[in-house]
Amino acid sequence: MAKTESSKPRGRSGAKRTAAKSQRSSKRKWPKVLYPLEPTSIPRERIIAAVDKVIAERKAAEKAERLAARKRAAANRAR
Amino acid sequence: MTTRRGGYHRTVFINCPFDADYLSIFEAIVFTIHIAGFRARSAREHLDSSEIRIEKILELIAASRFSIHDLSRTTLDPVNALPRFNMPLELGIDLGCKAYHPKRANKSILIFDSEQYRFQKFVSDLGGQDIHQHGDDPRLAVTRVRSWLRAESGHPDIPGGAAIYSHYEQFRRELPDVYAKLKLDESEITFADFSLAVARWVDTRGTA
Repeated sequence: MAKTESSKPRGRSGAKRTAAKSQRSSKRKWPKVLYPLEPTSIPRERIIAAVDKVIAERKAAEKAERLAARKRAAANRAR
Repeated sequence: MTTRRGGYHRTVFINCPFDADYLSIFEAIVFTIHIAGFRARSAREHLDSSEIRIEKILELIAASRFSIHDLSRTTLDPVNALPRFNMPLELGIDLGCKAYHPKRANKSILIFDSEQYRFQKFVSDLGGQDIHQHGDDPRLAVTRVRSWLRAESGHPDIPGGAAIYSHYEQFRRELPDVYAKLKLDESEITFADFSLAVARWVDTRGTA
């Protein structure tokens, strides 16, 4: 049976779509986190804020690094 | 018996040594439990000195469907020349709870020792049990705990041991910064503080 226009893959190939779908499903393969119920020795909000801040700083540093790498690559191409 | 509603099936009691040498194994186990979607509990979490210690342990055992008992430090104390028997005692209580309490028959127990068959020299009655080794290696401990939780809980979405350990290494790299932000020394962090930091880290970054 010939493929109709609507059933044809658009944009990326079927293999790429399957890979993207598999990546999405692999991201879901982590169970929901259960937080501890017992009281902490310091306020819970302080611990949560400290963890969040460290992660945010790390993500910002990674983003800056990626940006710098992209700029270096663009400069090399232009040369 | 006090069991938090809905918590029993997702709770893992850790019965292990509290010495500094064991800390790397202990923290790796706590991390694995949280990232697998369970709650880690330990006698370390209680700060209320008015409670009698064995009663705290009885409550924790009854409230946990899963338990990890590490017998690897059942060795002679250099000062008293006597073995430390708290871990085998708590394992015995857990086995009794599973055997005699009809609502706790579905308990699952993971037993660690330092060498294969060593336990037969000091608790030969455990001969029929499947005892595991972690070789004092946090990576191996992560893999063993993860495989046991996956098999015994039946939850299909627990990630593989290598993926968990990779996240654990990232967490360890960032932990000193978390302590610095809290203006606390590592030795001042309690089990409950550490557990919450793990859960938050996993929730925010670990599963991304």
